Amino acid sequence: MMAIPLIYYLLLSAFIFCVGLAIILIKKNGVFVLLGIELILNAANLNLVAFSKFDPTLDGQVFAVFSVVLAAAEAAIALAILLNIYKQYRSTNLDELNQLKN
Amino acid sequence: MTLNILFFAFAAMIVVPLIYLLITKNIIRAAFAFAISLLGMAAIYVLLNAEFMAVVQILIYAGGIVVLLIFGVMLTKRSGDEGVFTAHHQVIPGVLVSLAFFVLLTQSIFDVNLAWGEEVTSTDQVKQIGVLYLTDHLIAFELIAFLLLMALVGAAFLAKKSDQ
Repeated sequence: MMAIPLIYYLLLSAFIFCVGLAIILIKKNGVFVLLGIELILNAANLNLVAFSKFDPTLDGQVFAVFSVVLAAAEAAIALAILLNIYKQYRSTNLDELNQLKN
Repeated sequence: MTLNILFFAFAAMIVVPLIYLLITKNIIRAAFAFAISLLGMAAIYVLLNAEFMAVVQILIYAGGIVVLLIFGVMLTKRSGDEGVFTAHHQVIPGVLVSLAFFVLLTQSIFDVNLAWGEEVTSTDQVKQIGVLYLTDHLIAFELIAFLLLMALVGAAFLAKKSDQ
């Protein structure tokens, strides 16, 4: 049985990261930007788990689970903030949040 | 050989929804595409012998965060005009920047010498991870539990309806 080389996982993870980056850069809606952040965190997790396969201590997986918990906390807080933004501005379009400008 | 075919199938299950995610403007469809790619990632974790991580991925991401995102869309939807669509802006610079970053990452991945270490194939990983949480990483475990509690209480407080 031939194992899959580590580099495949790293390339996949790099792709996921770059899609997340592109989503953050080009989408206007706040919920969509949050989705891009989750994708970036997922790419990091994939790297951690992939490297942990070559590490007898399993620390990579332990750390990846911590990162998942942090992502969940971040999503909950960010959505609550988005709800408040929507209450204030009647929109989640991030371009319209320019009250501090000028 | 079979493993390689499985890997490419699951990688396609991740990559195709992600490309759809990038071009679509419908947020609900994007959330479901995101869920499919998360399931693909869980499958990749199984290929990496990380069963615990795969289950955590399905439970928290596909089961929790996607639902949270969909609720976020529903609660911030203006009834009528705009619907659940989002606009794009600065498409060409954004895509160019992320493509350049992808090329950079790929270059550095190919440059690094990855031929170190032996593949570890342990069987009772879940038990080992549980022991690690309650021995070596106990403080981090307790702190993250406390942080999660605070974050959820804070989110409930922020999102609650004010009276006036």
